Amino acid sequence: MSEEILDSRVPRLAIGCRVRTISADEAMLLVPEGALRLKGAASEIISLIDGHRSVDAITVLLQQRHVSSEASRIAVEVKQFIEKLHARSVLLYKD
Amino acid sequence: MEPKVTPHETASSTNSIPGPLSLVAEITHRCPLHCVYCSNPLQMQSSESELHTEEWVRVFQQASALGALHLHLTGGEPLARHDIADLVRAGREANLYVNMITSGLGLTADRLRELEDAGLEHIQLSLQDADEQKANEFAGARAHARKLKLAELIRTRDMAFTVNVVVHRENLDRLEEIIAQAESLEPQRIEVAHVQYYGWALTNRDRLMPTPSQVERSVRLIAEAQSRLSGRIQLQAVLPDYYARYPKTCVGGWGRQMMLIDPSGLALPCHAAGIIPGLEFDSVRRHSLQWLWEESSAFNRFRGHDWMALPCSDCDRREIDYGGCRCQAFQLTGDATSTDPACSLSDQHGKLVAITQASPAGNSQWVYRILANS
Repeated sequence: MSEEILDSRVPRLAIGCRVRTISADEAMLLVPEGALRLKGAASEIISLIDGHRSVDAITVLLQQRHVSSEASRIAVEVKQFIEKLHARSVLLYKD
Repeated sequence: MEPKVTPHETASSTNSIPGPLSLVAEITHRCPLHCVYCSNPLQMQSSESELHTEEWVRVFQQASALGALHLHLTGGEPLARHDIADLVRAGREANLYVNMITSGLGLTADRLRELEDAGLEHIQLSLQDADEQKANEFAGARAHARKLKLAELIRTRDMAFTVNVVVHRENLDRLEEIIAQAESLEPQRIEVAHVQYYGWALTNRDRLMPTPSQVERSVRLIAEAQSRLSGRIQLQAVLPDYYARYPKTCVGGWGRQMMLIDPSGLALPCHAAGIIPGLEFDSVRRHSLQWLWEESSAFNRFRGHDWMALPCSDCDRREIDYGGCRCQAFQLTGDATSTDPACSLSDQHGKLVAITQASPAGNSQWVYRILANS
């Protein structure tokens, strides 16, 4: 049995938050009164948050893209990153 | 709590000075309100001297090229400019995050839609109190009821909404009601800011300075509200630095993160910098933003720490708060290079403590912010 906990919630950027692409592996997440510099994996994850993909779908997509990386580690990274932004009210889950 | 980025190297610059992160555009000093704690300078710019639309557009493009991320359209009242929607659009086209700080006066449903269509991303609406009569007294205008109506309009639009409230001696006893009213407007964010004593607020300091017990209570109430609202509304607080142990990192450090352009195009390192004698400010009408940021004497005057005297020059906090606020140091000690007296390590700190412990000035009259006074 898989240890993975399914997460079908769909994250979307909160109102007034916007991603500004800087380069292929760098982005700025612009929020009211601040900004977050996202590099590498973080930049890739944010680019996949479109208000349609679920946390699971994003995880699977990244696992397919990075077959040489450990699948469970990618799952943890995605979850932690999304939770961190959710805690800052930058990301919301769609109703 | 807010995510912040550190100043960064800009692509356009070969110089080692990192570019600004935000551009504060004081697009006009005209305002229908006359708030007794306005942060504008006592000497304000007339409407005749204001930059034209195309001059602002150029400024926004140059700021973005220099590395700025956020554009804060403020005033005065930004809505007093007829070209406000064009300025919002120009900011977005320059790839900046566009925020507008407003009293709301002059805003209608049509105008709000126009601003939304132009790409406004964040709007900050000010409240002066929860009590209508008091709110109107502090603003010197009958504005409160209108603001509450406007909030209903704003929250239906696709933009982030912050309610700003300035607190002081004469409204702090109603802080719970103030937070409750702000909350009822359903913004994403609430900012509760204790008055900072510059400009008009310094003039009215005797009536605005809170008592120590008011400050103590406000800290507790704000913490309670923050935990109650967590996950729903982000509540941010600015505490009064007169009561602090260490000074605030004013504007993120002189010439490190922020550039302010006044209505006439003068480039300033902070809102109040004009009060410091001997500083000369250059204009965007004659210079590029890159030159103003990197080369102008005003921005270099207190950059880094070569200008510091003891105790700052030896202090391990000198890269944390950069000696605090230069304007406050000048206002309270007469020397802009001295340690900000808000710092407990300043030999002038006692002066500041004495001000906070002075008894309320009973019958002193408000001095209202009036353009014609200047």
